[in-house]
Amino acid sequence: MSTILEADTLLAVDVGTVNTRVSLFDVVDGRYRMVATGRASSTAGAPVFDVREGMHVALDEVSEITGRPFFDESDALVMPTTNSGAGVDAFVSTASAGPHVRTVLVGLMPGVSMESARRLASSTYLNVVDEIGLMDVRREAELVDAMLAAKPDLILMVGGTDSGATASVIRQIESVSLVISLLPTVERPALIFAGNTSLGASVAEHFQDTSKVTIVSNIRPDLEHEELGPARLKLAEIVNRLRSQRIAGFEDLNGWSGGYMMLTADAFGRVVRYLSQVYDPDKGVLGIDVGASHVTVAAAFDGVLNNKVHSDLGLGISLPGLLRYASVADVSRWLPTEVPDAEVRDYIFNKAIYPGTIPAELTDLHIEYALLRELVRAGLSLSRSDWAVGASSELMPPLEPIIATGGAIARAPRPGYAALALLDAVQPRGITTLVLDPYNLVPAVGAAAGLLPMITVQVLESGSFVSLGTVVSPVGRGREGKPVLRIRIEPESGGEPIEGIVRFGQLVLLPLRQGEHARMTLRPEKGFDVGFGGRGKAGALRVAGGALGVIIDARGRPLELSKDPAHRRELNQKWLYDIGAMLQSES
Amino acid sequence: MIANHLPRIRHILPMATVQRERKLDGPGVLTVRVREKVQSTDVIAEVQPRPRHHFLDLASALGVSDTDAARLLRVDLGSNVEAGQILAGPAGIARRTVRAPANGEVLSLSRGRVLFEAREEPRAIHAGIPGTVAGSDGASSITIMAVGALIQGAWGNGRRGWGVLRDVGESPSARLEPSELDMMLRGAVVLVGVVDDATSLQKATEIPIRGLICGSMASELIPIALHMPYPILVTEGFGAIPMNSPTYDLLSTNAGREASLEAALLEPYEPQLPEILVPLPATQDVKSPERIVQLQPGVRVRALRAPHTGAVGSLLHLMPGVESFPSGILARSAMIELEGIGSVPIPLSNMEVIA
Repeated sequence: MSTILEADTLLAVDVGTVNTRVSLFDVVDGRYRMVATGRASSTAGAPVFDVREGMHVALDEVSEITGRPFFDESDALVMPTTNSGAGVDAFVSTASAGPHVRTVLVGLMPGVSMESARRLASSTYLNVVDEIGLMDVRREAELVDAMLAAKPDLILMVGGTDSGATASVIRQIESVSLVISLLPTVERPALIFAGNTSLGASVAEHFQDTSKVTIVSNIRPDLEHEELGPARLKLAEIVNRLRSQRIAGFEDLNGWSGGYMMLTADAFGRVVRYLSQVYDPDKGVLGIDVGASHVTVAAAFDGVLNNKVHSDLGLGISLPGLLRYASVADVSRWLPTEVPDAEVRDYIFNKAIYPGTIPAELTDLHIEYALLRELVRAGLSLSRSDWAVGASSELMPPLEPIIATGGAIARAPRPGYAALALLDAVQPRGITTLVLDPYNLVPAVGAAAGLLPMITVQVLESGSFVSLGTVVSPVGRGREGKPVLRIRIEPESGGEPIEGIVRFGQLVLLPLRQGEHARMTLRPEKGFDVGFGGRGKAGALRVAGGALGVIIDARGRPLELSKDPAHRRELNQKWLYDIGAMLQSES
Repeated sequence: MIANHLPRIRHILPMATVQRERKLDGPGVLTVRVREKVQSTDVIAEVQPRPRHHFLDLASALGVSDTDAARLLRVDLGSNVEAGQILAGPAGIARRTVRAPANGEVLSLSRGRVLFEAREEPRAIHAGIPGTVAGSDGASSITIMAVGALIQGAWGNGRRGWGVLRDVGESPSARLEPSELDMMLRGAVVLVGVVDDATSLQKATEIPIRGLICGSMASELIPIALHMPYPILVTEGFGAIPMNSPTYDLLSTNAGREASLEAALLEPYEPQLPEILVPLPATQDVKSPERIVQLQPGVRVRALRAPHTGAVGSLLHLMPGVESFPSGILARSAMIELEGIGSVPIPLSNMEVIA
């Protein structure tokens, strides 16, 4: 979206699998602010199958807060704002709800075009049900039957660099063309060809009597380059179209958005990429969104975004998928109390049945946050191999900031729960900032960025996002209790400086309120690196406070948990107290 | 006061009119007409299983050129052929031929190869519930309207079945013991509280039973349950949770009647939910279940999470603001009078309306 609007009020709707969120932005003192937000159960699924029901309930909440009506008597969105203050000037919408698009990838070489196709597919809400490449050992007839059995919504064809293979690409296209001819017209999937550009006309010709094929620029124009952008745009269109065919109301949202309804993951990735261009160029920006049906991991390094949507992970219906990547014991190791494995396993499957429920009991909360840690770990582990920086290292690359969103993170009873879960799961190194998006505004500002470029930076700088604090995570290992670093914090407000020694194994909070700044001096011991150019290197920098102040995580990188279950649970409990997630009266 | 909240709905209705669609998952023939009455066992359609395909290289098999292979083809494209029927040939001194590998059809011929589609016997689609055919698109979908007690569940193993309902445990929390499964239950739909033993699931196959309805099941049994040939429907969830009282009362009072089980898999964007229908004669116009119900005083609700999972009660009032729970979480809540427990606050997210 490139049209830049003169608009004061913006309404943003995000339709998730479990929740539909509505946010109203307005100009306050010359800057965009989120002025009201509403949330309701999503109604994209059974039994309603109409996203407008949930949206209207969430909007009623916003109307109650602001006194502003949004719809006229004919149930049409009022746009622009009327003199009486009804309606809004601009509208954006994003969605992650809806059935996954069953996709068959057809390409050539496993490490080249197929690899790029996989990356493209994993950047959005596709469910890859089969892959057919040149190295496939199945017989030709078996491949035809496999494609038919897959019942794809989409066949994504790739292969051939722009000056490369043609014959082998055409053979693959012929197979797909045959499959399409065997399907009844109503069951024919959408077709995209994103391979050798010179074959565009020939590919179109193969399908001219059966189906419409969309031809986009080659995702692998040569062996060294990958260009996923144009194909990703087309995929977004197809995902939106398939959703609209199955669920009512998406067309209205798309219409009110001027035809530019975005996928939530794309809007999320847009913000992460933008931040990587304005923050420290030596560090990456990491965004994590743990939804009910997906975990989205967006990492950007100097403007280069890697965005992955893990549709088999999520803290709802997709939760059982976690057991492909982690065992029940992997989850239980984060618990501060003993919980039988069978109970944890039952919890996973019950949460899949009732994804909108929340943990009211303390043990349930601990299980939920243990699951959250493993979901983030699995999402990162599956994403990192494609990152531009630090893909092969066991340690995280330097990151600034780390932004987290999603229902479980947003409703943490105390900021310490979210902070500890992120520290355990991400294990950042050196110095970073943890930021929470409790109102799920990242997709909204991402979608609005094309219309109102200033909104992204102005809302991000407003109090709608919660900075948990600056985190210092020295890299290195030592004996429990051995000094790791000396720290001095001099608040700019002129208060008393804080000085002390942090020892290995400690998790320490130093007070520095949100909005306050201080000069922080770090003198690590010679075996520890805090990011000032190597082990033992000291340095100073200006830091910002947060809900938890400054967090020193001296538990070592990589974090190694005790092998003794009782000691491990004791430490998990201690860390919850140390970071302020639990009070001594709770156990 | 009505909450700005759309609660989950669970239908537990002694009498309801339902319309259920039966979709053909491939090409087939509908065998019933609109307004026709059907029984659970009636075949309403025959669907052709997805065919397998074979490329038969005529040129190579006959030892001729591509052009000659086309000339030697003995059947018309698109015509039905039987297994063993000669498709092409004879050719050469050895009078070589190519025969059909199965019953099917020659779809195309290109470069000396034919694409052969092998067909299997059509598969019968049963009505699954007794009722009246209310609609059809004439090709791939039939809607059956039925009247009876409707009970929605939480999880199913993806199978459909019907049989006479038998209450084995005679309590909503009774555990299914393998020893209770005997030949008296042959062809029955078994009602129990808790299933936590793989042996019971396996033994039920041997009898065989026609279906299993339980309050809860150990989640470690899911992979086994998915492979059982009979439908398994879980009403509450996983673990050892007793069946909720309205469900148990309704099912146990209907023991001895036929019950239809639709143990649908968990698919959030599919209309079919796991459900049981006990067909009953309609005495008057019976309403269809509500799709949306407002959360307001007097509605019956069921708790979805600890500490009162599965407990049923009546909504007393919505609580102003947010309530704090033992986990520390703040949530919009309602005060519920739970049967046998008393008044407790429950987060709106952790309850569903029984309607």
